[in-house]
Amino acid sequence: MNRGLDPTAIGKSFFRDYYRKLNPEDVDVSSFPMREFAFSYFEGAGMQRHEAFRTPADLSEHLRHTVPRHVYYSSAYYTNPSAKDMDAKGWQGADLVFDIDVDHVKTPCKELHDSWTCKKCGATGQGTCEKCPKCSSESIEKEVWVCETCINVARDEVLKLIEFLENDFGISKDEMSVTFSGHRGFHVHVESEAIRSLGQDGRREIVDYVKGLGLDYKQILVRVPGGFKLRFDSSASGWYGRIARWATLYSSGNELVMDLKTWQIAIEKCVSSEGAAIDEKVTVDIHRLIRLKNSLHGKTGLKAAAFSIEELESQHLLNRVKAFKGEALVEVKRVPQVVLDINLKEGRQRIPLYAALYLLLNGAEIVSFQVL
Amino acid sequence: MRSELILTDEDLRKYPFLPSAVERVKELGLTLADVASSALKSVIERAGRYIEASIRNSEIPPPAEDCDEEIVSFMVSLLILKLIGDRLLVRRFAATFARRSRFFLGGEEQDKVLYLLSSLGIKVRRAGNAFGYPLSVNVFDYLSNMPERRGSWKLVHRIVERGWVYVGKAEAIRLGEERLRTLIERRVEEIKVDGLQIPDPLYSLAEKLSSEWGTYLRKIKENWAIAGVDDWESALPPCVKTIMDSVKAGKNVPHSARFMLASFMLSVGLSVEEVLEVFRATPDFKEQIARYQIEHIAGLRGSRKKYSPYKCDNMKTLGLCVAECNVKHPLQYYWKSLRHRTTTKRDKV
Ligand code: SF4
Ligand SMILES: [Zn+2]
Ligand SMILES: [Zn+2]
Repeated sequence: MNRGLDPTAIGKSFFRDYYRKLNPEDVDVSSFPMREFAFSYFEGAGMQRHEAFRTPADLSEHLRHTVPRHVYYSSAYYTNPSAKDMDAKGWQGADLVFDIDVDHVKTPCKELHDSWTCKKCGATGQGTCEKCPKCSSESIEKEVWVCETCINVARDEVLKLIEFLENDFGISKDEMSVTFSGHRGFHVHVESEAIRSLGQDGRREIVDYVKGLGLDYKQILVRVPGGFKLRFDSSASGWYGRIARWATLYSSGNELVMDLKTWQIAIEKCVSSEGAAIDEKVTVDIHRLIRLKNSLHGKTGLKAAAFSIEELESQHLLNRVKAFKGEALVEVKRVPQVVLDINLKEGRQRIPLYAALYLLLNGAEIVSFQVL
Repeated sequence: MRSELILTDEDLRKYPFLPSAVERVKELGLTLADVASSALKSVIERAGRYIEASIRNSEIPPPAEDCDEEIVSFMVSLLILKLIGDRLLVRRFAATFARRSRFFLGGEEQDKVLYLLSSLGIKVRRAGNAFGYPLSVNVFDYLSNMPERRGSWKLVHRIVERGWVYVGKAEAIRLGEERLRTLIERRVEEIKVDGLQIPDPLYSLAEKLSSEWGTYLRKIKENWAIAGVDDWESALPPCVKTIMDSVKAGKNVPHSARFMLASFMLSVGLSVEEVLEVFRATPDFKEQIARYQIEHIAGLRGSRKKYSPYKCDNMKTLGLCVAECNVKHPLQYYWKSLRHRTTTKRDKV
């Protein structure tokens, strides 16, 4: 079966199949009627915001009918979620949400699947790049893909974050849920009465805490004979305990007394290893729209599946996010060496359907596409 | 949180906002008409003095000798504030009243502090002097009420353990002060005056205070008119304008926003005095501290480094950017719109 080479039409027809089979409970979220929903479609740009639904069944009906390319819902609860104006919406609180995306993390695999082009001088290269090495321009066009390594790196950051949330903030695992972001990372949601009403400043403080931002050695060290030591011993929890553990690597004696310079190195090392690489904008925004669990990402065709913490530690996370079975015969120009868990070569090849759809939706140059 | 701790009249006199104080007045069965009657004239006068103090940004006078009089005066103050209906004044009052309470709390035994904070809704418990700290506070209560987001208050510098932050007694009290501020603001907001029969003496007091407040605000506004550039404000980039509006409305804006506003105004040539005037509207305004901070940003103190306002990129990460202006720096926006204005003026001539 050849569905022709209109990526939008092909993508939409597969999304339609997917949403037809979706159950209302798959898209259920807490306080359902208080959430704002938003959609963008295969046709036309822009986003349709300020939608609200009475029940998950109404929403899944809407998904079946309109087959959106992207589906979002608000982390916030509103008395009147479909109002257009923020004041009229009546903000009642918001979940605490973290976004972890390997865009902001160094991974070894980007050389294999990402590339960039300088919009000014036309230079190109593999991997990622913020500033053109030739002309120093910062207007860089990036082509990014996701592979299994990316997902594993993101997962490790999620686990770090969860450690902070549990041990420091005392949030229990059943107040947290983790969903795949649909592309290169995960979202961690915390739903708890104690957090709902927390404002932006409080949330920013949580961000700084889990990233270890703003740690000032003057605040945490005290002067002692022979140098400096931590204000509290290593049994103190929070960053003190973490820093103490790293400092043992740098200290010769068994008393943790070191000079300032060494402390700074130890603290930096500790922060860069233990801090969780989250995107602060998402956490601080109390009106944020977030991809709905079990919806499809319109540029990958992958499912925003929900993971339990135990499942996160398992081996093949990708298996849970593949939404389509079967195979396809595709011919692609200029392919990344690896996408998802598939190695690619030039020319015509038989690959799993989920990978073929990913290539198609993420804008690879596809010469032919045939579902087998 | 020991239940056998009984609040005395003396406690209710110092803390007339406590739930048990409200209960007690309910039991008295006072009506508004009673309050307005000449027998309780002292109550209305007292409420008036409390609000006047916050208009002038000075300390709230000490509580009445009689516990019931104090509780009723406090409640009448809230009602009058509601009648005046100005949020900035409510914030002012809440801040000054909370400050008076902090002063009393400072003199209390630890157990009583624990009890009082709990009744304000802060989860707090004894820490048994772990790491030298007598108390610990629920981390989210800490985050919602921390007075500053830097230095020793910053959460990364604290011992945080399974949802609890260790604090000293004075710190716990400071958190309580912030909490009380929010509670008082909320209490006023929740008062419903529709359908209430407001007795004349109360009404005329509200009117008198309202006009005093109006005079005060006008004075501030006059100081706002900045020499040279008329209509100076309309050239502001949307982000700075937003912060300025919040500050003028007496909202409690985050530190980063205050920094932005101050550094921006200094950069476009306003004086420390002029910047200070703007911040006078903030609820927790303390002239000395504010002056110190502004002079610091202006590079007149400390490192002698003049701080520049944030770039658009930084504004975006801080969540302070509110539009897409196609500029790299908010200052760029400002100069552009000023330049535009002068050319159009010349065109007309
Ligand atoms: S783009 Fe720059 S100038 Fe415009 S609102 Fe955002 S931060 Fe301000
Ligand atoms: Zn270039
Ligand atoms: Zn990868």
